[in-house]
Amino acid sequence: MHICLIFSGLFLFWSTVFFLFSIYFIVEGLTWFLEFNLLMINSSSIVMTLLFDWMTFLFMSFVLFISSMVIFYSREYMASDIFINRFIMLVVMFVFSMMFLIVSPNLISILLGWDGLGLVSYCLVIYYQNVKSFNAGMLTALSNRIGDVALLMAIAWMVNYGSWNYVFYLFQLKGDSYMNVISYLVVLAALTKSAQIPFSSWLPAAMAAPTPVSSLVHSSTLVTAGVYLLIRFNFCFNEWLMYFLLFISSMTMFMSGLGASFEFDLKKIIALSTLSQLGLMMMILSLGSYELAFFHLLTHALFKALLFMCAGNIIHSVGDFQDIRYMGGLVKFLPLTCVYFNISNLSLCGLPFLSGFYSKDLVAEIMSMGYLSFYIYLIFYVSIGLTVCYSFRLVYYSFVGSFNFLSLNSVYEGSVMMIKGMGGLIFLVIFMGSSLSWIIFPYPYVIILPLFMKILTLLMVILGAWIGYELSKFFISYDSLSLKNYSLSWFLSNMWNMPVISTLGINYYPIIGGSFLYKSLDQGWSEVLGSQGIYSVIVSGSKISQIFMNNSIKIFFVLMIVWLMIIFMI
Amino acid sequence: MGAAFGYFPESGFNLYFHPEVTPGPNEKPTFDPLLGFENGRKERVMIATEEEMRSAKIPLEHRDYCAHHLLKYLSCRKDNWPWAVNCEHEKHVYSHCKYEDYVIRMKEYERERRLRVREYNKKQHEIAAA
Amino acid sequence: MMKFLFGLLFMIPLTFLGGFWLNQLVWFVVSFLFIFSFSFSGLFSSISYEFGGDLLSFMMLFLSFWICSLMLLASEKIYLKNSWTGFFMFVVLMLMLSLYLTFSSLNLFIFYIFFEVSLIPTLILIVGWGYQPERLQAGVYLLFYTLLASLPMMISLFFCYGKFYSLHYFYLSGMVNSLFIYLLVNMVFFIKIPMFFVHLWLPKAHVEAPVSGSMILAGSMLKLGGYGMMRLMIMFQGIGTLINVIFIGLSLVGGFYVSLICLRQSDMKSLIAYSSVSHMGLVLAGVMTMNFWGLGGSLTMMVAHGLCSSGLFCLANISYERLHSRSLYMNKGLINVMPSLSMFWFLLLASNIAAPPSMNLLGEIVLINSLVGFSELSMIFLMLVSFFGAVYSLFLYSYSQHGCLYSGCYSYFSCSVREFLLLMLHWLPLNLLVLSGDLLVLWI
Repeated sequence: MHICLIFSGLFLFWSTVFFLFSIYFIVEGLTWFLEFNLLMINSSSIVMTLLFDWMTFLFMSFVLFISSMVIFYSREYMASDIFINRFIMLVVMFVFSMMFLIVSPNLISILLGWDGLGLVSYCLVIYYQNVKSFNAGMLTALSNRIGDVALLMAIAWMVNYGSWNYVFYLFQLKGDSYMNVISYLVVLAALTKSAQIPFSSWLPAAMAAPTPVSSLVHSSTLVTAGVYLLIRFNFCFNEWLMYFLLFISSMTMFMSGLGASFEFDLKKIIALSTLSQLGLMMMILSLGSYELAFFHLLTHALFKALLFMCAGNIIHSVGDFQDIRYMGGLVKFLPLTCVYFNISNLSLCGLPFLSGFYSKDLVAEIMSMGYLSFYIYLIFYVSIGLTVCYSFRLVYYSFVGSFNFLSLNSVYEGSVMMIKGMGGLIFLVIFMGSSLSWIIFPYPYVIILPLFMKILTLLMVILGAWIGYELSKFFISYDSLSLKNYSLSWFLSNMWNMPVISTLGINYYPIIGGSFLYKSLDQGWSEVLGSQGIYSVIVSGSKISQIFMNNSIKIFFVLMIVWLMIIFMI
Repeated sequence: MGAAFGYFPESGFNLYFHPEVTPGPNEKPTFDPLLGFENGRKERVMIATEEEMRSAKIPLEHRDYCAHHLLKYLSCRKDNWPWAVNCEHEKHVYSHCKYEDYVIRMKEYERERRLRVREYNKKQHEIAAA
Repeated sequence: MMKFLFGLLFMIPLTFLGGFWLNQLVWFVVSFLFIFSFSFSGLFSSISYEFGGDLLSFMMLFLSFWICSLMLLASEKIYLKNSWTGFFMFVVLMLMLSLYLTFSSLNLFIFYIFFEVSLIPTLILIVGWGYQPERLQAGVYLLFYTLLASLPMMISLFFCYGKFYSLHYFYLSGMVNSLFIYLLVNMVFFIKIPMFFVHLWLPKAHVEAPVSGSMILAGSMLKLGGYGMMRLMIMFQGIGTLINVIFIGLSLVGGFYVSLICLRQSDMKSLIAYSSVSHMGLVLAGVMTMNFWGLGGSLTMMVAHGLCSSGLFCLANISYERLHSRSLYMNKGLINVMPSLSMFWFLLLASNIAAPPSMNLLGEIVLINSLVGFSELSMIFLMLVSFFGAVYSLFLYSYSQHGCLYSGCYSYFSCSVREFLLLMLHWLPLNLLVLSGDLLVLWI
């Protein structure tokens, strides 16, 4: 238990220190740059660089604050676990990897954080020893590995410029052919880490991890690492790459919003909600406003972490059930959790003047002020509506609707430590949006929009809420539409069948390739042309000489005399 | 075109039905700026100097005709930090200036569009007369 | 240089008369003393009578000394069962002697002789202290694969003597423009490294060898090939620019195929052996590019791979000593009984993947840079090799550590301090030496 308190207190202290640093650095416009030179090969230096910018300090303070609350929360959540020390050490290693990633402006030192994040999140996801965690962990680690490989290749291409400190030359070299390749690789890495469309199957699967892990890793830090990388790199993207990123992220937003409206697992709904918000962050990044992406990243981290923690409290109370069809009417039993959950949900939906409103609404307004195609506009607002739809559906199923759980239950809020952990975050969820928008935007955003577009967001919220309420009226009957169009509802709820394609579809080929190569090459032709073949040739050769040896000894004596005569003749 | 959705139904249809007379968002004006202005037009002047903007390290996209208000706002912010809420007046002045700038740009765009429509109609008359 | 030679020679009586742990201690003392005679530059130093060393030789020698010390630390079972302990230590000493003379010689012929001699103690180790009857065929494969190519190399050494009038490394600067000589000289190094099609001896030898044999094979014997190639590349600069591209392509594609083969292995040691082939394929490709980055990255990767694979073989042996099986079907769920060992499994396998801050990452970055600089098309196979490297390493980790415990085993001895010391002595140099990476990358 003490390890939780130690790390929680330590992280809380450092979080406040970093926050004070960040607001000092914003106004002074300071940047600190520390370099440790490891080696210098032919004038390319491999360095460990630390860049301390207001952005890094702010992000670090948020990550440390959320992780301190999560560790305090997991003091109670993982209390019955024997290996709690190992768990807390893994979480601490994860936070350190994230710190390394945040502070590094150098592509090689970013690998320290990036690879560390991938591997430590693998260890955390497979923490529970069952088949589901095993598969989820493998999926997480290998999806992240694709991004690692892309970053390694980007390192190789950056040798062309002689230095891996990309912050210095991204803007100047925009449009250069080498920089184009580097930006493609970096975007690929960010797509895998932030689970955008081709690689989005790992995020819902990674919900097999314990809830504190989901709260810290899969809502605020690991998945935002991709967005953060793109925020640092966004100066070098050329136009086509931004179109591509816009398309991918809008598709992700839409698909996960649809999926969450059909999903029944509590943690998966929140995971798909995270995915949807990540798509939103990527979208506004691809339109050029990286500060807004950062702002939404920070506010989203807060309320998503709180959502996961409330979900953990609910799951603990209803005896480890995660299916929302088993819950209902929990507002009577878990009132404080319900309050926290609702505040976070409303913040997620963009209810005016909670923290999600400041970031999400600003994103929507900046988007409306730009010159975009109708398709992007439509997808964006429909996704906002879908966000509200699944949030309200979730609230109805779990809190407001009729009680669906077993009648012999013990659903109560007795865990003070979990409540305290969550309570640390709730005030930030309410106030941080406005505070941040006053602090971090020195150049104010001036929004000029007609009335209809201005209230369109609010209209979509109300529309989505109504649709969510309608969707939650679920009755089991033979006549249900979703059963009649089973393949369609399977397609929509299962993330457009992409998890199947990206796992079952492609898992088969390397494994079959491996066994084919082993049997036909290593135990086949390499043997035939190598050792066994030579061996059999030698054996058959010596059998031939056996034929000659199969004679009487007098022949050998005569042969010897003949040879001696020949030699003496010459 | 999605942004034009808000001005529904007018210019929402413009780009789709009349693409030849609708100027793009990044196109420069093609007509004489003084056409139709008998009394001439007032030229817009930059009040903030290049040196001031450079010393304040304002990013390039914010160095427009409202930069002098921005400079006042930034200096007020720095003086009152961390209670930036005391600078609301300067922020409002800057926002108002930006709003005026936006309206001017919108009017320029609409002038361009209407001139093009006029040209187009003239051509149609000529073709119909010939 | 001579003091270590005589030191090793005088350790011969110690192997028969001294105790096991006294020998172990003396080995560590010799390793640490050796570090003091390093010269951290690319120039040859400690030169005397055809022996000397530059940084490449010193790093290889340090690796050999270290791995030999750790071999004794890992083989406590031989001491406990009293199965020819003195003779075992003598064989290890002979192996180290031959490796010492190979790496520190400045004459090509002495290098060649002790290159051959080092095969004999390895053969005795495998056949003498191995576990299964298949070790006989493994010994045959080991010996004859190398001998098939090394006798032609001796003939081509005579050609080199005829052309350069000396077999000293400094005088090998002329160009040999004959493809025939190129193949004859380099074939033995390809077999030793090993390159893809001629790697068949490696899985057999590694699997059948006892832990000490596997360690020294993975740690030093493979590096003999890389070392030889780096020394003799000077002669083949002209023809190399034409021919090397074939071998680069072959080793990259081979690395990818071998990574796929790794996915289908059910034997832990076989999986680690094939992963050795994959990593050394990268090293071979790096050396063959003949650029500065390639040579530096190869040395880094060789040292890192020596420590990492050797550590993985120690881990496999620790599991083997408890379960008496190397199969992944029985070595599973070990995190439930030996969680501290799981940490070392994870750390060493993470180093195998080239996760920071290990030296594997530094070597892989430098090698990737040199290969992508050689040709951009190599990027495809490099991505595949890196990715599948992670796949099989995580496969090994998750199968052996997580999952249900094998229900046929009653009790497990939780790890002793000796085993943790062994693993720590593998992992610490691997991850700390990256801070002085300029020693390894900038050896020229």
